Amino acid sequence: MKPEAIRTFDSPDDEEQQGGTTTLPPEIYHVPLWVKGIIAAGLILFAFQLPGFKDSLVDVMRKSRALDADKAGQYAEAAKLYQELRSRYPKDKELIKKLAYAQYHAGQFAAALNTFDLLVDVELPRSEIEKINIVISDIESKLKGNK
Amino acid sequence: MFFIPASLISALTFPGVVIHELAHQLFCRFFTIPVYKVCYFRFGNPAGYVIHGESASWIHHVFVSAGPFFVNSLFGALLTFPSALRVFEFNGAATLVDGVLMWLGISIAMHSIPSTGDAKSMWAAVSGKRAPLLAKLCVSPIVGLIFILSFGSIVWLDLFYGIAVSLALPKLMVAVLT
Repeated sequence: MKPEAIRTFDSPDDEEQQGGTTTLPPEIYHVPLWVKGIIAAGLILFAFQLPGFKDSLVDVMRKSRALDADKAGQYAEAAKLYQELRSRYPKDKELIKKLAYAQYHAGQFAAALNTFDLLVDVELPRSEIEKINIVISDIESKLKGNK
Repeated sequence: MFFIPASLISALTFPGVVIHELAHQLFCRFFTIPVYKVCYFRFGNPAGYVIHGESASWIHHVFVSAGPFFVNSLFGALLTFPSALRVFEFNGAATLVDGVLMWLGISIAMHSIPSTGDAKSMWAAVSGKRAPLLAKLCVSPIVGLIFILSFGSIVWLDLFYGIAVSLALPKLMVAVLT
């Protein structure tokens, strides 16, 4: 469709209208300020957050190693890695749960009980609560047996 | 599945619309196609548009239409790169800045997929005697795919694409380094 407007970014008149002094490509000086603002804001936030990326990457790698150790049955190693992560992400309930289970499977019963305690006020699915209760009962019976 | 009007989604993800139109404009510039008018965002359908002149080749026209796919995907991936792992891997670890950056990046990546208007324009560039049969054969699956993906936005495919774009690079780094 032929547009009504005939002014183009490549028109020589354009540069005249701009005073002919700018060296910026037309696409840049014609872009409204608010559009440039969005791009600038994005890039500033990107630059602001970038230094923290390395820590996040290391933590995700640690989490990945913890999950692998968990799957491989190396529960003590998994518990150690989860514990390190928990100190950095204390609000992550999923991490707390995984740590508690790893401690339980590693035979660190007292530590597992303390970790499960952190989930008391957390909303969990009924099936998960039942599973945790079974584990807690098992821990308590084992601790009593040891006494 | 809940339905949200497209205009509301466009308003909530307006940075994506802006970058989408900017991508068309930049590709026009790259192929020296005159640009007559650019609407970066408006409350309406379409939410943005670029009116440009005829291109010298059908390939240029295809690239202008498909430009947002490259620009929005890359810019979206770049912006979300520092925050994506913290947001998706650790609950409660995200800061307000992470949230803003993720909204910005995912909004931009969400609008990577060319619109049906872009697809129609792409098809118009190769239809009739404007381009050889080979061009039609190359472009028709792209046009078909755009229509399918556009239909997929009903089931939030564009949002899933945005999230996938934000996670792709950091996850790849984790996979390589672990």
